[in-house]
Amino acid sequence: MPDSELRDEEMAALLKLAGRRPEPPDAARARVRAAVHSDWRAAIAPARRRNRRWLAVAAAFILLAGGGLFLARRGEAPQGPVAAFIRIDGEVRAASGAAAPEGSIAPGATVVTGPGGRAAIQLAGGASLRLDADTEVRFDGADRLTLGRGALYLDSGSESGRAQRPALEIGTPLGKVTDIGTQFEVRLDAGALRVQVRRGLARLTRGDRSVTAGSGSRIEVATDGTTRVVPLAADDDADWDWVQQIAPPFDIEGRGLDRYLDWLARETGWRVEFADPAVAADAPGILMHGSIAGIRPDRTPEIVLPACGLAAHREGRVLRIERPREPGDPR
Amino acid sequence: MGDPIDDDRALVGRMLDGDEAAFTRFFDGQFPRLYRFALTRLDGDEAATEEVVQAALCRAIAGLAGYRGEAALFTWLCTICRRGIAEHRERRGRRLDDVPLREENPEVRAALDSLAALGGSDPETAAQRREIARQVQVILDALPGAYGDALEWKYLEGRSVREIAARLDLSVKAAESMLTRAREAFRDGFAAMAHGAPGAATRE
Repeated sequence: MPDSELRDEEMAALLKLAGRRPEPPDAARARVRAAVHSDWRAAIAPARRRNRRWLAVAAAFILLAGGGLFLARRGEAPQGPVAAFIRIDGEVRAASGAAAPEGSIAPGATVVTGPGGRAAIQLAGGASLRLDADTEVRFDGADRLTLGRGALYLDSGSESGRAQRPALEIGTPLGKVTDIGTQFEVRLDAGALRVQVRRGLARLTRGDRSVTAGSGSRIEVATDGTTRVVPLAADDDADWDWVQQIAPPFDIEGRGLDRYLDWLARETGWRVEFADPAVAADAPGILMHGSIAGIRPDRTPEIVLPACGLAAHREGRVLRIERPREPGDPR
Repeated sequence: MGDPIDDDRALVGRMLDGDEAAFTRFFDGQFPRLYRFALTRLDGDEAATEEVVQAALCRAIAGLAGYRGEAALFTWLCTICRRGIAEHRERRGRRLDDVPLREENPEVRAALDSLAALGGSDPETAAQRREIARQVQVILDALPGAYGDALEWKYLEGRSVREIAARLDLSVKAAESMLTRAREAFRDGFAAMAHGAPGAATRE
């Protein structure tokens, strides 16, 4: 062996001596990525056409939402956004990268919510994302996020072509969470990780091991790496309260009651039942008018249903819809 | 994972097809290494490094269709970046010749021979240790594909071959083979650096 060749143990010693290579600053990385990505998109015509389609969808969605809380983007962004703000409450800012000023979020951008801040965001693929207060999320791509601190809620949807989108990945210091068609929360709290599934399935991968949690369960990863799956309390909605507070708006104007009830069930986690099958059959033809913007989803039934000539009462997570009794109705 | 240059060529092909995942792999794989490459040559000036690296990557993107795979992607990027560094330094009245090319330091071999004695805490030994550490990192950055990462995972993090395979989305057998090639490439890079040999992966 030539004298310049290394034995295995020498190589190991050298690598240990050198230590881990230093990483570039996150902010620089995000800025450079946004610029290079923009150039790449401009150079790649087919990809750019795909981007235009997404922009059209995003713009249409935002413009439909309307209202003072919502930010509409105009024209075509050169940065190739991977997401767009739908609703912003309190302090929400871009900590690094190039989150555009008109509501779009460029790849590599980091969004930070302050102590009283929350945000509802639509990802390019159509999934709905919400950020709780004191949260930091980096948008690595349209299907890849990194949670630095705080909590996010992802609704990857089931009615808007979920199967056509790649699975969304959320990186955290304690593992990677993959959406499998679902609604779930990922929360980093005091060094521990919690993945709480409201509907569907989510998978957590740590190293070469993975664990999957289904509806009504939670994956907990302690600071020492201990991982376990526990059931959620059956009637405890407290964990989802913040999700409702920053829910994206639902435009009821001209829509059928059935569409509203589908949205309500998805946002609240309730099961909607009809006392009278005839009301269920009529629901698509009952068209609504007005607006419920700015009202928490769980408080909208008391506004919407009476206007439709209906009443409802809730038992746990079941909302039962019925025709109100008239004086003289048989019991 | 096959030949690294074939992989680079395939990656560029996917980028030209507009594949977002390919862009992410390109950026995540090349940016940190190119940043460190430039930072060393710009005297640790982070602002200048960011500017030069961004310009180099944008130039590379503009000429992506011209990448034929004659050299590794990182080598190609370094060539573009080196031009940007020279321009930057000329704007500031310094020529590229002024850049200390410490990768060719022939003392590395001697230092390695006395690696066992590097536990000392005197300033000279500490400086020598830092220089070797820096040069090892330069070698790791210059290795093709994910070789540098794989070696760090193996020897610094103590990851198993199975874990490395999972991270690289490879079979265990392919990961073992890749680690073998990574070790050989590191040895080659080290030998070339120790002798200041022409064509060394880490040379200017």
